[in-house]
Amino acid sequence: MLYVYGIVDSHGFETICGEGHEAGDIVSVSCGAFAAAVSVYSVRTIEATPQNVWCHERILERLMLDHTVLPLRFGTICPDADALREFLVHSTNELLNDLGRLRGKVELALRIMDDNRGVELPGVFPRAPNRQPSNAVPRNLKASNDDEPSGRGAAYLRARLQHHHGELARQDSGKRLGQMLRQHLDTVLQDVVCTTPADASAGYRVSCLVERDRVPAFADALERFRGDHPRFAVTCTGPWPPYSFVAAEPLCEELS
Amino acid sequence: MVVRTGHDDELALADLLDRALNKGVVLWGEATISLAGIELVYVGLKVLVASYGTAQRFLDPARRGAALIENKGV
Repeated sequence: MLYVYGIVDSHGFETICGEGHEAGDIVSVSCGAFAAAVSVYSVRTIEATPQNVWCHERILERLMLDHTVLPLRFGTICPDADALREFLVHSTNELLNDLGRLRGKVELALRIMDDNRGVELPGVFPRAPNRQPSNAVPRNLKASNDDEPSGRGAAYLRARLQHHHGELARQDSGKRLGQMLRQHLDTVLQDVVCTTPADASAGYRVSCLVERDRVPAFADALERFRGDHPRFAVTCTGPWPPYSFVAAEPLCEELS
Repeated sequence: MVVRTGHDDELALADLLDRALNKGVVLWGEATISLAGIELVYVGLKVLVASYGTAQRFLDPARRGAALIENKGV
């Protein structure tokens, strides 16, 4: 078995001795202009422990010192080098496109919590409007003290409606937050992905693609954002390999 | 603000898990990892989440057919 860490923009690289899973050497399996970084692995599954995931990450970071690297998802294990090459050949165009697009770039991870969550702040995060015209709202869902229905069915539908409005509000807030971030970070951002988790208490998760040599400028711009918007608690980790920005998709259907 | 890079930091670990387990290149549609001794399978680009045995039952056409027959009580 081969554990596959990532794809590098070179047909090979110097072996990294003893630092892979099961203390394996990291070697290359080349495919034209690029290569996969692999180590021999004894079983077909890997335990997702922090140690193993950090091992995966450390190898990628090591390779990133000298190469552009596309990180593979943790847990990618292949029967042998021939099978791996077959997948690489089928994905060549996508992998080359990603390598070109992500050359010299890294990912920075933001978590943003709104300290005033739940407090109405007009003009910043307004409550999401009711997207349905009022005459389209079922009569028994209209808020009215006079004719508000009771019963489990009505309570269920009210809860659904409330949940739906909450979702719209979160999406709306996420968009506004994205706009605010772009205003501050636009000069250093190459790309950005915002995730609005279903659990509002988890905050917003933002992945930022930045040129490696612009990371200090990114940190400065983020500091200005924090100064201008003290209501937000912002944490940042990285630089990471550009996990969130790869586009290559599996071709299992064609190969099977 | 200093960008954190410390590998022993819990926040960094959370952000890493968020990425390494959910994102990154997927070269083929299926991969298996185990978490706390339970095998989990990624199916396609979705993060998974079925046990290995369950996923196999639905992915393998022959066994899937057998499962359907079993379910229909034939």
